[in-house]
Amino acid sequence: MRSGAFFLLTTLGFLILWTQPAVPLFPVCRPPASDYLANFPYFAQLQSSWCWAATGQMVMQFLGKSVQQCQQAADQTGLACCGMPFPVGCDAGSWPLFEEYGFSYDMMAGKVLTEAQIKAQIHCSRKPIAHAYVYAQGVWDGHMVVAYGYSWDPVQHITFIEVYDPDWQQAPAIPYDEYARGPATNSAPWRDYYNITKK
Amino acid sequence: MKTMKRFAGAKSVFLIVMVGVFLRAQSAPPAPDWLGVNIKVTLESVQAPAQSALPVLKRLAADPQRPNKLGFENTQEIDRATLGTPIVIFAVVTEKLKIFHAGSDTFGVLDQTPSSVIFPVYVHDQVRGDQVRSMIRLTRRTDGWHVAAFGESGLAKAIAQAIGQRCAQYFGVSVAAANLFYLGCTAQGFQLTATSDQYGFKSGETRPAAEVFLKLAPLAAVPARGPR
Repeated sequence: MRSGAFFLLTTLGFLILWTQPAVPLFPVCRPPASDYLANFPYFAQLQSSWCWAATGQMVMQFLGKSVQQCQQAADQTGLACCGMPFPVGCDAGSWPLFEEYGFSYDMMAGKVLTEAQIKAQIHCSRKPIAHAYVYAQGVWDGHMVVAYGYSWDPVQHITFIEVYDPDWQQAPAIPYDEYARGPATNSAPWRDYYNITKK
Repeated sequence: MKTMKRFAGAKSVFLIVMVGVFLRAQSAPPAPDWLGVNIKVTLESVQAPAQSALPVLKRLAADPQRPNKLGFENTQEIDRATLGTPIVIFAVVTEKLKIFHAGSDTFGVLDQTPSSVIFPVYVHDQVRGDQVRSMIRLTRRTDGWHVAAFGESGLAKAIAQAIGQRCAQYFGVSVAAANLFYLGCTAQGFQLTATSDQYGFKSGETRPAAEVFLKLAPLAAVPARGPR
């Protein structure tokens, strides 16, 4: 009797370890090869340094809250950025203030979500990812875009990340490896905001 | 007498014009050898990857599962898509732009190794001629050129609008620190054509590179608190 229970527990333990703790034993969501967030809104950045504010506007609008870019800049800098001409200091690089507008999020720095994590965010959680990269390693200057979909090329066996780039009013498809490295020869991941949820 | 005076006047004007042309040629530093060499070598090395990438772009754009057609208006256009003239891109090194001043070497601001090459993708329309629809961007990696993005149609259209017939060989100048992209030309000194309305320059406007860099230097010097 005892040895039977021992055998059962050992087998169960082995099974749990074998299936890796990060992957649930009974996955409830299996992302398909391609998917995207339908009706995801696009906003171009209204100032040369407001990619973060445009990204914030797109993400928050999709999740149910409208926050203008100039308002984000004003809240970030403490300056009156919604009037024209606005003070020096409004048009500057920064980060979306998700928490201040009632959103929780997770953030990873210096690396990007894996393909599987991106698929899970978009297909299973129906959430976009705010993705920032630096132009060159060691230089704290970069750009932010939104990942709102992914697609699979069955010929090349490559996953493409569907991106809204607030800079040039465009929605390119970027091979995952390139998305992870950034567009320039020396660029690198900066921050990914994910699991963004309206509280 | 009157004819003599006229002749002398015309001679003076001619001399002044010639001196002006000579001084302009002297004041505009010639393009450095590395620029032409690196453009030529790069263009040779990207032809094959670009040709391989075009069918991939067409396949992706035609996929009904996709959220968009990567700049194309319909599936008929996708079938007719062809690669346009590539533009080799040189990045402006932010650290060098920060310290740029009057008299600085304008070419010295550029990273001599091209970082990427863009191929506009055209669709021929019998009425309107060639229309730009999409773009393929190749980026240099340690193991060669890779497709970095398909479908950057916004930049492709901005370039098509800004580009003129003034230059036989345009090259791209990317100022990442200010999210700007210029078309460079060395036919009459180093000049830059803006592709967007920014910092006092209108899209399509051409200015000496030194003037543009002098305007952008203070912006590059502002420390970034985050992405921009």
